[in-house]
Formats: sequence, structure tokens, C-alpha cells
Amino acid sequence: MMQVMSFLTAAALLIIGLWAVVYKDNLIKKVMGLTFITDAVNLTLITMGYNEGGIVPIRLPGTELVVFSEKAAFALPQALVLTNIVIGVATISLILGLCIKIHNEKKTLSSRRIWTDER
Amino acid sequence: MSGELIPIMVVAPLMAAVIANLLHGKERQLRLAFVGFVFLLLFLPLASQYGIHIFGGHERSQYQSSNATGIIYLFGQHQKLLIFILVLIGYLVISSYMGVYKKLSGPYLGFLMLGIGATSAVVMADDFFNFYVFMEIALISQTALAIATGTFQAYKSAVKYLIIANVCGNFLLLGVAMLLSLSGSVNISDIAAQISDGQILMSDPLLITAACFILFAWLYAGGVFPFHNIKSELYAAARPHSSAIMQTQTKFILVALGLIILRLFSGIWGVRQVMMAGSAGAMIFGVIMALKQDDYHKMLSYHAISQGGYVACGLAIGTPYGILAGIFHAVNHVLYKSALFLGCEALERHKGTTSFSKLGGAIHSIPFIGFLVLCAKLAISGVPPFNGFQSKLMLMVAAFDAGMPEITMVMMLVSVLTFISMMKAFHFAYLRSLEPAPRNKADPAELTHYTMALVILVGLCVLLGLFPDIALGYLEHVSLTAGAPWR
Amino acid sequence: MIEYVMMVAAIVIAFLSLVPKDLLKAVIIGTGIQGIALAFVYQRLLAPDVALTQAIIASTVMPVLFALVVYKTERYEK
Repeated sequence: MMQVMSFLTAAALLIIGLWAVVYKDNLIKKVMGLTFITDAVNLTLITMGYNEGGIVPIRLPGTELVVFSEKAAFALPQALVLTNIVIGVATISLILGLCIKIHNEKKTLSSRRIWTDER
Repeated sequence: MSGELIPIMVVAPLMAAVIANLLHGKERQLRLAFVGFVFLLLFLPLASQYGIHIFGGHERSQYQSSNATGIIYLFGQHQKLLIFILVLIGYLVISSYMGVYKKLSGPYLGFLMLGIGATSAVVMADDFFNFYVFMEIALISQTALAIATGTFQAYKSAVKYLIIANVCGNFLLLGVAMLLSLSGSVNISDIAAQISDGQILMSDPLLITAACFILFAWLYAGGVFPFHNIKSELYAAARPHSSAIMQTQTKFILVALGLIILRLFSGIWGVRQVMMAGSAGAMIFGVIMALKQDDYHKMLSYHAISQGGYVACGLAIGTPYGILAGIFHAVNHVLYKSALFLGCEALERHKGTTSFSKLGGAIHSIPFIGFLVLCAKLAISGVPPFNGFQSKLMLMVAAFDAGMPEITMVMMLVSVLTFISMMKAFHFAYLRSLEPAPRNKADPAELTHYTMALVILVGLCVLLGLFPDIALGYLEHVSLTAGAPWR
Repeated sequence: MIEYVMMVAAIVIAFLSLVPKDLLKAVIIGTGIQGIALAFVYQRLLAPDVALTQAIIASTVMPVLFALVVYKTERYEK
């Protein structure tokens, strides 16, 4: 039940993020759509490693190995998600820096007005 | 010397990037350090033995019994060829940059090195974790090279490029998540073994969805239709010598991700058809946009997209001969396109502009560079004895043998249009005499670095054109293991 | 029970944060509150280290980055 709800949340966030990147006019709202897409993918990754009624994948002293490997959640996607969060922060900070530079030049952040003189 | 040198091929450029940042402002030490670094990097792929490097040092378990989660670098024959060519072009680009610019920028050299290290890792990676991280690093380093010019057009192209790069990187990770949930492993060899073994059914809807997402990421990362415009805008916004290294990175990422898709998904009907459609679109639209350009540098960027369509087409055919032809064309294209970009930069330093309406008569003042650029233009059009002829012939024969003569006709047509466009550019830039003649901005003696780079690149083109087996010998293994008949 | 509330809240807040014309309100809601809700969900999905990282980044790093950009460019979307 929890996994199903979680996957549906991730799907909804992905759709909202894609809609924001494609249809919104302001550059900052497009970048917020990017954070939503990243959050959706991270949520998918962690949900697929979920173990129903399980324990956190940290082995405490006194836990037997057999019991631990049966009940622990899958640890590999958590490593992927940590990497993805950091990559997301780095890329988004670069895009935001470029937004400031574009605003210095054109005094607007509307994507229609920035890219309209290329016709 | 054994497998220990394999990760150093990735670590050494990253260390060079850090040191370049630290030495910013100290000219002499930067030049000395970089001469040393680049010779070390050229030596590494030649000296390293073939093998596997397993991170963590644990034994690689057999695929049938467990979910192996190995983080592995594979260094085989085609990786050796690709990494050597990448580092060679990086060396020529850095030497041109150092020879011409009086004040060096440490972070700029750092990003060049970062791009070289990241692309080496992408070519060598056998698991999706390494691949995703280093592909994102390579895309960001390409953007940084374009931003360094400081023009407003570069900022606009970079923002567009980065936003779509982030979306497509996330889609790649979504596909990886689906593959991970199906097979329990991020290792590509393990997943491929499970698929071919029957543990994962080919008609599994989750596998088909994962194929769609990863294919979408390939369409973007390789610069094929419908994302071809974004890549060409970015090449056009950067300086020509950094465009040379950027298009090298794109071609090799295209080859690496294409090989991964072929290894995993070639049993699913529709995957290679989509790849073929994208590559045909890139070929045709690239050359048509190149014909109507007024700016020499922009025209070369569109031609890079068109030739990228050739490489993608070779990979999409999927037969062993097709893959062989595709990767060989990638290697050849990288060589002659870098020669063309460096020649364009030499012309710009000499005349001060790259617009066709203001250029003319350069053959009188820089005749040797003009001759070398003419050789590179004949190479891109597919004229013997250059290497373009060999690889385009192999591509056309591969398409014909797979039962698709229409693709052969498209390739021939695009090749003719490429020749027309290149000869028009040569006439406008070098041959015609313009009244009044444009003034020469730089002495021909300053352009010796470009001349040396062009001599090396055109020499390699002629060598590979006359003796293609030098390179084909390195590519046989991968084409046999990843190839499958066309359906 | 509470994790379902947080999941629904994440979706609703994500949608509502794209509506306002005041960009500062949009980014603080869209990255700050939505990120914290997701961090809560991560903790209930048995991933405490990811929850910690997401909580730190979504509460301090991202809103500060976005707020800096809004301060340097324009506050109201025209």
C-alpha cells in the first residue's frame, strides 16, 4: 500500500515538473520544475528499495546477519539518490547563476522575451 | 603494469583540473605543469593493459547465483583507441590555446581536463552508476567551455542546454531505476546476461519502459534528432578550438551509450527503428541547416550534427559490420572535424571575422593552412585517399547488406550536399578575391601552433585512409559482441 | 498514516507553488516546504541518510540559492 501510494506520488511530481519546464514562462519556475523532476526520480528510486515491515539498512551490534539481510531495505538505490541530490544541487546552482547573467543583460526573466529576437 | 593504470586514466585528468585551478595566475608554472600532464595522459592508454578494474577490490561473482553489484571499469580494445584519440585531440587543442592566448585561464584549462577525464570514464564504464555521474560531469564541462566566452548568446544557449540536460539525465536515472528493480544490479554485463538468459522477459512492460527512457536520454546526449539544434547552438557559441573538444566528447558519449543500448535492448522490436529515425533526421536536417548558414563557425557546427547522424545510423543498423562502420566513422569524424575547427580558428585569428560576406582571399597569405583545410574538407566529403571515404563506404555497404537501400541513398545524398557546402565555404573563405581585401589581423608566423596541429590531424586522416586496418583491428571485438542481425 | 498526508501535501504544494506572481513566495514554498515533506516520506521509507540529506538541502541550501537569485533579479513576475 505504501509503495503504491509512493509511486503514484512520484508520477504526479514528474508530470507537474515536466509541465512546469515546458509551459511556464518564467525561468525561475522552469528551474523549480527541474527540482520537482529530480525529487520524483529520487522518490522512485527509494520506493523500489522499500521492504514492507522491514528495518533500516544500518546493522546494529547484536543483530544476526540472516535476520538483517532478510528484513533490511535495499541500500544501493539510497547511494544513487545521494549522488543524484548532489548533482541536482550543482547543476541548478549553475543554471541560476546563468539566469542572473541573462537578467543583467536583458532586464527580464521571461523566456518568451529572451528568446524571441532569434526569428 | 597491469590493471592499476586503468582508474588513473580518469583520476589524472581530475587532478590536473584541480591543479590548474590552483595555479591560475602563475603563467610559467601552468604551462610547465600542463606540458607534463598531457604527455603523461598520452602515455597512459598506450601503456595500460587490457583488463577490468573493480572498485572495492571484491571478487566478481557469477551472474547466475547472485545479484552482483560490481562498480567496474572495463578497458578493452575499443576503449584504448577512443581514449587515445580523445587525449590526442585534447593535447592539440590545449597546445593551440596556450600558443595563441597570452594570458591563460586556470579554470578554463581545468574544465577542459575535467571533460577529458569524464569522457574517458564514460567510455570505460560498465555500470550505470559511474556512467550517469560522469555523463553529467561531461555535459556540465561542455557548458562551462561555452560560458567562458562571455557573450550573451553563449549564456542563452547554455541555459537551454543545461535545463534539457538535467531533464534527460533524470530520465536516464529513471530508466536505470526500472532496470535495477527488474534485475537487482546496476552492472550492465549482469543485466545483459540476465536478459539473454531469460530471467528477465523481453516482453516485460517494465523493460520496455526502461528502454524508452534510456533511448530518450541517448537522443539528447548524442545530439540526434530531435535535439540536434541544442548541441549545434552550443558548439557555435563557444570558441572554435573548444568546439573541437566538445564535439569529440559528444561523439564518444553517443558511441558509449549506443553500445549499452544495443547490448541490453536489441531484442526489443522498435528500439533500433527509433534510433534509425533519429539518426536519419540528424543527417538530413544537419546538412540542410548547414547549407543556408552565413557564418563559417555555425556551418561547421551543423556539419558536426550531420556526421553524428552517420555514426548513430551505423549503431542503429546493429549488425556487426554496421557497428564497426559506425565507431570507425566516429573516430574519423573526430579527427577531420577537429582539423576543420582549428582551421576555422586560425582563419579567425588571421582575418578577424568568420562571416562569409566579409572573408576572402586568404589563400594568398596563409597558403599552407589553406591546403591542409582543403584536405580536411575533402576528408569530410568522402573523397579517397582520406579516411572519410573508407568509413562512409563501410556505412553504405552495411546499410545495404542489412536490407535497407533507402538509407544508403540518404547517406549518398547527404554526402553530396556536404561536399557542396564545404566547397562553398572554401571558396568564400580562401579563394575569392574581395574588393577591398580584408585586412590581416595576425601575422602568419603566430599561427604555427595551428599549422602543427593541422599537420598531425591531416596526417592521421591520410594514414587511416590508406591503412584502415590499423583502427579496425581495435574495433572488431566490440562489434562482434554487440552486433545482432537486423529485424 | 501521516506519511500519506505528507505525500498528498507534497503534490499539492508542488502544484500551488507555481501559481503565485510573487517569486519569493513561490520558491520558498516550492523548495522549502515541499522538500521537508519529502524528507519525512523518505524517513518512513526506511532511508534515514537520504532523509537527512534531503532535509538539510531542502531547508537551507535550495531556498537560499533561489532567494538570492530572486533578490538579484526581479521579485514579481511580469
